[in-house]
Amino acid sequence: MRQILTQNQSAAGALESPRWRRLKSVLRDVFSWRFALLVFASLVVIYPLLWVVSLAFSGQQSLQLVQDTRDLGLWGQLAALVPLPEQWSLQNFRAVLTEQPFMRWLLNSVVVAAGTTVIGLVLSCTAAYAFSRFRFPGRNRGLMLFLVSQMFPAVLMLIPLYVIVVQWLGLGNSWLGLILVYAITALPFCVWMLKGYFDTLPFEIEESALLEGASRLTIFYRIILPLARPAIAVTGLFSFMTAWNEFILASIFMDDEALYTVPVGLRFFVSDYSSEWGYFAAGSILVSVPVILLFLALQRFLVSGLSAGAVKG
Amino acid sequence: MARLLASLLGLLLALGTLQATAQESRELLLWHGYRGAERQALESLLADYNRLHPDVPVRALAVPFGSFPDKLSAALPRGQGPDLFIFAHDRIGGWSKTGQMIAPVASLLSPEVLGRFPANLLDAMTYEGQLYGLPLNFKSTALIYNRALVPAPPATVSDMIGRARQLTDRERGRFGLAYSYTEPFFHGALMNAFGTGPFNASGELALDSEGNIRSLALLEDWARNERVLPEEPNSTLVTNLFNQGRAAMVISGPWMLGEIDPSIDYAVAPLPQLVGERPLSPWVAVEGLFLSPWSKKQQSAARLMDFLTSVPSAERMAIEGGQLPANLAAFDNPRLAGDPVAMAFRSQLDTAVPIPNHPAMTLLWKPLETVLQKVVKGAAQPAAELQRLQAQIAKDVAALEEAQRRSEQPADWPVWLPLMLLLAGLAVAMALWRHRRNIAAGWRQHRTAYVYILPAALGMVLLVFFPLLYGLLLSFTDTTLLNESAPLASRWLGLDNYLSILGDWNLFYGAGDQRSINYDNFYWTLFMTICWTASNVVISVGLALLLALALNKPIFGRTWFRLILILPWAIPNYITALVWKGMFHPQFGVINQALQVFGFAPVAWFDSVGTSFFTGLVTNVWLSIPFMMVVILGGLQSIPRELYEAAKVEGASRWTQFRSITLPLLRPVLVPAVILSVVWTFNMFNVIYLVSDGAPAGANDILITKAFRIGFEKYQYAYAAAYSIVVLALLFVYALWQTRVSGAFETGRGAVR
Repeated sequence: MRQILTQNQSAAGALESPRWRRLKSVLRDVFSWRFALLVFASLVVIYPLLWVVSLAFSGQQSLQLVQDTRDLGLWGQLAALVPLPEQWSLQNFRAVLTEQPFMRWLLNSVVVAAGTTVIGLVLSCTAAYAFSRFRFPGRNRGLMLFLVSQMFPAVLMLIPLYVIVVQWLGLGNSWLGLILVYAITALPFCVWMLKGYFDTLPFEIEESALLEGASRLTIFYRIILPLARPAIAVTGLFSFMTAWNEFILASIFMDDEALYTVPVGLRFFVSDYSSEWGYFAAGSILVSVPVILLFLALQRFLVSGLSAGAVKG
Repeated sequence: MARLLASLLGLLLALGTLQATAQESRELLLWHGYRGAERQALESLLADYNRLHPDVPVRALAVPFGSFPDKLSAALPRGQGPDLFIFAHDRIGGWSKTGQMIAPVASLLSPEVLGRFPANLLDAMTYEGQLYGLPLNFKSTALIYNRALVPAPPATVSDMIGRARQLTDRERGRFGLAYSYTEPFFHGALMNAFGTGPFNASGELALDSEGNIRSLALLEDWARNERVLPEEPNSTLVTNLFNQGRAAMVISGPWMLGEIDPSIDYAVAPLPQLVGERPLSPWVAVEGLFLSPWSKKQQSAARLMDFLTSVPSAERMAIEGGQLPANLAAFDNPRLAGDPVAMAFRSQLDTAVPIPNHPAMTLLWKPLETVLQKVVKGAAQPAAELQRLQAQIAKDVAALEEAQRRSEQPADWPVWLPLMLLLAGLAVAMALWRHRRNIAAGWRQHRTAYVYILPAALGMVLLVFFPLLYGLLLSFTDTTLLNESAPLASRWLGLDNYLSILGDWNLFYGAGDQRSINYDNFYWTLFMTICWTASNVVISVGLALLLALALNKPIFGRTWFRLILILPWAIPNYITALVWKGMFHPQFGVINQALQVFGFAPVAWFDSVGTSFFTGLVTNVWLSIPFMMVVILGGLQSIPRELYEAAKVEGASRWTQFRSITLPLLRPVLVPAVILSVVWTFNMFNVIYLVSDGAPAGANDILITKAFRIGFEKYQYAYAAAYSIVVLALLFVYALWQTRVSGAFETGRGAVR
């Protein structure tokens, strides 16, 4: 891209204003294959979400069906496929926020998810560093055991987890119990992902630091962790999401409504006979806002070129 | 590091003891699943009660419907949980057999209290002669009709169907009658009209009785000949059609009333008479107040039960909460007596039949639903299908009963088992002792590495490997819902579960032209699981790689694209999966609408194995791409840009750059992501369960949903555990192979050796 830009500059000379140049590059972007792919993918992603949004803002509990469009022309029939509420209303959001202590539950979820992220990252960074940088008896077996833990279906872990966390550790009805379980659940992915990323970091810097007398711990904190920021961002997001959407354990461990997390609160809207999908959709949108904010905060670590200058491969 | 570990452990222990001391309290704990107006009415009643009886106040906890049964079955058998809880009555049979979930209450209550309820509601709460709890409210279906289309309620079934026929215009999406007719709860009305329901008069399973066959034939007639019913109904669709005036009559319950559009002029009437038979007699679900057998405050609990079922309380629950109270005296209140809707449900109760509380009933719901779906789609004949169902359920019931009989006999451990364990323990101890020097030396030499791993390993051992061991142990028993509390020795079975899973070679049933694949077979499910996993992982990793590469370099609007493309990960997938299911609805789904706009024929998505598989595949790929994309984006950051610049100078094409720079350098990140996504997809429960639900007839179930059905729909916990261990073994073999092939165990460049 940079190369093309410089060619461009030389061709057009100093006559072109920066604005014109920017417009030209935007136009070139817009007519590229890459752009077409991204637009198409975004449309596929957005369309089902549009149903959720229109349900949330419709003020009703069940979605309007597609109307009878036999008499309309082709465009009318196509337009009928786009889900839009008949009238826009914030009623569902108002009900979700006032009927139950939703904000409190959201806050609880933030605490639990943040705790999970911190504990998960501490445990997985250290373990992954050892797996990446040391060769010791039991290493391969250890890595494999981390994988095995993901292979047993979660539904059958409910009762034993209840026994351990509530009866043995006495951590029922407390966030710590949930945080521990979530952090450990997220651990295998985090360890494998971070180990893979640490593997790509060159060893030369550590070697010279070791020669200069730095301790392993210093190297880990000062060199490895800063270089691994993209992977830490990804695993952090993953740990956060593990805790953020979990519902069954959260509602089984907690015996106090004030301690519920937000997925538990959302599930109140779904029951055997009738479900308030409008509330559920509105709540879902509210629940996704913190995730989006977190992603926005983390995405600068996922932008290319960050690590390029730091290390020469 | 060690200090950090020690402080963490200290914190854990401190919090643990703190919790333990706070346990004992003088409150009476009540769990319920109400929300909205029902909940407010209950809570205001409880507030009054607490003012009257400050000595033992009640604390209520609302639990979402989706986790209520799990929460009860996790807590109660371990002596934890509430003193009282409110739940539907249909699980009483199973619960009373376990002996740990509910306690008999008759001795705690005066005859005056017991005399408040009609006989059929008390019967509902009674199992094998014992009264387990008091009826609080009841919920049954009735006929709700749009008065603009149906001026007066039909008196007979043929009236109803005749009227429905006039009002149906399938081309325009209008229907005379709509209800969730494939759900057994709704079909009960027909079964009870023709006969005695799933059980005969003496309480034995009789699914293939004359009456049940006729009820299915009648439904088949309505759906296939009269064609007055919409396809693939569910409660949301029914409400929707009614609100738009596109369904003239619906069969539904009081739960629907709050959602009816105010512009619809509706009325409620009892279900019509079947000529020459009884009226359609819907099933009624009784919400009962149950007493925990562990409660130490039984007298206070009985006092609360008395209070909540008294006439003033019942009136308030009906008027403020819109409930139908089981204390029928409340209906004499002028405000209820003057309410035609409440009175219609009240008079429906006279013909309604409580859902049988026989333990076998809980095994029936899902298989009967599958049968109903097959019959209305013309894929099965009522008589033959019910006979097959009868044989299948009878087998499941026999398995449960056999397990229970076995566990009632005292048993000793087989002599060789403790001996083996002892020998194994000795061998381990000897090996440790003999190699103690090596082990100590190993520890000293690699101490740094072990200390780094120790915290994570401890957590894994405690919270993952212990539960896994529990699952393994369970899989060698014949534990079911009914004998859960029996001592382990008398439940011990050995390898039988595994033999019966792996030795299940009934790949087909029927013979000749009738021969069809047995979708319950393990090897079919395994085949589907492998197809499911392979197609999902290949497609989603491929597309995610493509999108990540497209996003990795600057482009106009990059931030926005990146944000949009992670949205499916951010929104709770429960609702998006259901939106996808709705989009695939054969009659009202937007995908078929679009196909028709462009002149294609609509597709019955959930009727054949391939199309049903496709619905799950699309949904899961849509859901899993964002995560994969983020992982790959993170991995791309480790590739130094200088390499590309050097390649460009040498004139390498984009494809060559991708092949020789991007892919190899991405591998350390991609390999674990692929392995884990195979493992997760193999065990992806939600999407299958929510979207296709195994349709048609369980053909699209994967191993994990099958294990769930065995465990939680058939209550054969041990068999489900064995299934899960088989899943684990398969995945373990895969992971061994994959890590070897891809070299995932390699250390970073220049690791300490």
